[in-house]
Amino acid sequence: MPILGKKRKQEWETVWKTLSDLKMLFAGDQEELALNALMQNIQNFIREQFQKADAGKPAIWYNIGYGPPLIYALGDVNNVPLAEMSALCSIIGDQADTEALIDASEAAGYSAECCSADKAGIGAVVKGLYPDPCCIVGINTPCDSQVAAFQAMAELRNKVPVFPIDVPPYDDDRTLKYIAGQLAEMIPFLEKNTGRKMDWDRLKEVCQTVNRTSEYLWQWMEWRSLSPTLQPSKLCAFTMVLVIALLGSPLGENIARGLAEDARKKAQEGAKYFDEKVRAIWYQDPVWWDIQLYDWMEAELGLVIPMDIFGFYASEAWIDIASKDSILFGLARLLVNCGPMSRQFRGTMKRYIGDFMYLHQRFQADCGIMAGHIACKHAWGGIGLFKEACKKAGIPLLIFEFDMFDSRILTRKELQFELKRFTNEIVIPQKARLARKS
Amino acid sequence: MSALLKSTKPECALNSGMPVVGYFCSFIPPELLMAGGLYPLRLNGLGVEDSSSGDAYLSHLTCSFARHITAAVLDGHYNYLAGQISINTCDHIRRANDVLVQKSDLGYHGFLSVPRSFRAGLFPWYLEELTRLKESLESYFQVRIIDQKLKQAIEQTNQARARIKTLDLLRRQDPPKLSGAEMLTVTVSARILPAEKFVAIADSLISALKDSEPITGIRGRLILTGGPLDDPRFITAIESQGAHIAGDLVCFGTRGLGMDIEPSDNPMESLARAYLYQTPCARMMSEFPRRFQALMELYRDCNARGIIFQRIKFCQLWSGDAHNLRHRFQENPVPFLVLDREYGTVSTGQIKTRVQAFLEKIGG
Repeated sequence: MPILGKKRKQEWETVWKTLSDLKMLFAGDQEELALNALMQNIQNFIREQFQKADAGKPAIWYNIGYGPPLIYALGDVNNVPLAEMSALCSIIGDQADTEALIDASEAAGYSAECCSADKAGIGAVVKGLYPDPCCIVGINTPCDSQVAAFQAMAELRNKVPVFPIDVPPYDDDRTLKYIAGQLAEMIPFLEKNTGRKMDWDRLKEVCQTVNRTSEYLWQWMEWRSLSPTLQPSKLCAFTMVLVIALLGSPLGENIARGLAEDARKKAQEGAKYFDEKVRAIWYQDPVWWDIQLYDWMEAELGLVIPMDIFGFYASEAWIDIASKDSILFGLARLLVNCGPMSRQFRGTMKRYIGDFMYLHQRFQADCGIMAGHIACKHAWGGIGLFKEACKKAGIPLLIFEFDMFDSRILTRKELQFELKRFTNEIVIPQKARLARKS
Repeated sequence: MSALLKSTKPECALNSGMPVVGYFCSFIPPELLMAGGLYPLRLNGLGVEDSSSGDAYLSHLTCSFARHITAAVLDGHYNYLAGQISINTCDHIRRANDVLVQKSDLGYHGFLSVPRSFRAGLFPWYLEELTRLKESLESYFQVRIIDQKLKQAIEQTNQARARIKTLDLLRRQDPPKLSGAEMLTVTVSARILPAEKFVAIADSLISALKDSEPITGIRGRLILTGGPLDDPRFITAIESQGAHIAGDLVCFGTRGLGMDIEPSDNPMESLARAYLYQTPCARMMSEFPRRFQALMELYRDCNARGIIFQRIKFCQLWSGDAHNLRHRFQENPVPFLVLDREYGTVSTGQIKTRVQAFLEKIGG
């Protein structure tokens, strides 16, 4: 299906067609307010990307740990998250395309041990699916694989200039000021490479949009903490798309509003989503290659995910727009304390475990599911301490190895077996024991 | 020196009551510890065959170097350490540090957040981090790290580095007097022994080598690059096929020992400049072009005919470099062999076969 009247690469056309079909499917369906908001605004984002690319506007590539607000403030610049095609092909398009992109990167000499989000991103670069960048913003969050990936992409695109942002593993104001200082240093770099001037008034507007979006996301989290749950499990993880690609834009705000409104409406109507038996915090990466797995979990096992690590949006996102310094400080804090995974992985295991315990309590969970994406070395490196913490707290924890964008590592059948066994043989009996005791 | 690597326990320091502090990475200046009367020991897993306790905490999906060191500390191989200093080298080392902080009996835990870029604006952060580490060492060990002592320590390590350079030239010359495996033994020893002891042993080695016969029967002069390598047996396996590692850019090898530290009135700043701006490893973001330049200069200077890249399995940072090197060598061909390995074991048969084929390919 052509996009904006032009034939595009097959992977993009597949994504575009699916989005158009889904939009028609859900059109006017108030029950699916949240999903509609997601699909509509993701499609609008892609449309804007193609419009800018067709018009020859400069493109900035960036890895998962970075976010777009500063780029939006530059005006008509194309923001391209490097993992965009990994996510779009798996969630919306054709999973076979994601796996073909992974294979293309490995065939080009990229290590099979790196994250599949990055591998598919590199495959997208190899296949020319992204508009050529004028520069790259690279950040060392959430992981080493990202660091390797954006440098590899810079090499593949004729050594395009890269601005690296160094994020220390500390949680203090000194660290945030250090990162804010780097954002200030980056502005002239972006201006030079895009040929655009930073518009501070526009940046203020972008930050106000971020603040409104944050408020919606916090409301949404509040609604999602209710038991029984009001919305499908799979919605949690989608906020990653918002935070990485759309935060600071009206499109991102629309998605957040849609999520919150959908939840509020259902709560006010007393709607019951389904008969839930077990609530789990899905900690680590979603099964992007089979989002319908969450539907199966709900229908077959009565297992619901009220929140996951990607959906959790921390309270440090507020940006004070009083001055340039406060804006940069707020953006730095947003970047490293609210970005999915960046928050939990850049420091010690204390933050990772602490966030899990907080989510477990706030979302009234019965257990945890550590979906161990094999390339997440910081998560696997903390597995012993995490297991001990859960055991001490009496929280059943399922751990399995899989790949979030590659279905060839752990199959759906194997995954279903693990989830079924854990739910029926561990969690439900424990819940019954606890109920008898109380 | 080979004998010294069999037991890295610094008996002399322990007998004199000097606290021994282990450290993880080449961005931590040992001079800081020496100036405080502490014994710096670069942590390694040499001689540790079982990494089970490290595996239990870090899983089998992380770097076996980090797992071996974690196991070595948890299992008591390092029971003489008074403390350890970690840095944000990579995800694996950060998690090893988490485990050591929470699960080991070590009294002192220091941490250094080293910028991952050479951009000038980041230098003050590193200097501040070194100052904080200095203050933390002073506070815990009740010592004073004064400028005069720092200058002395710098002088001592400069002398050690000068010996390394001399020995490296003996390894680089054609025909060489020192093999690549022997040179790695030297550079690992330099990170384990007290500087003055290393200098004395190195001097006698240099003197003995001057009169020795050069190594013959070399089929190919190669450069070795990639991630941390502290096990000379790996290079022995390569060289057993007739290769000669004429130069290296590996952690524990000559990378990080090549620079002289400028004497100045501000020794902390001199240290910071020398250590931050050393030939960058793969943890440094956007510094691949500089690494590549250093590698190609070494390749030319050593009159080498090929490059072997080695990496410990699961190291994503170095795997990115392997990709980038391949990409550049497609544009400007240089014979290039990538060897993945596990720490603690040397897959001798596999290495020999692949090196043999590589040497045949380059006409050796």
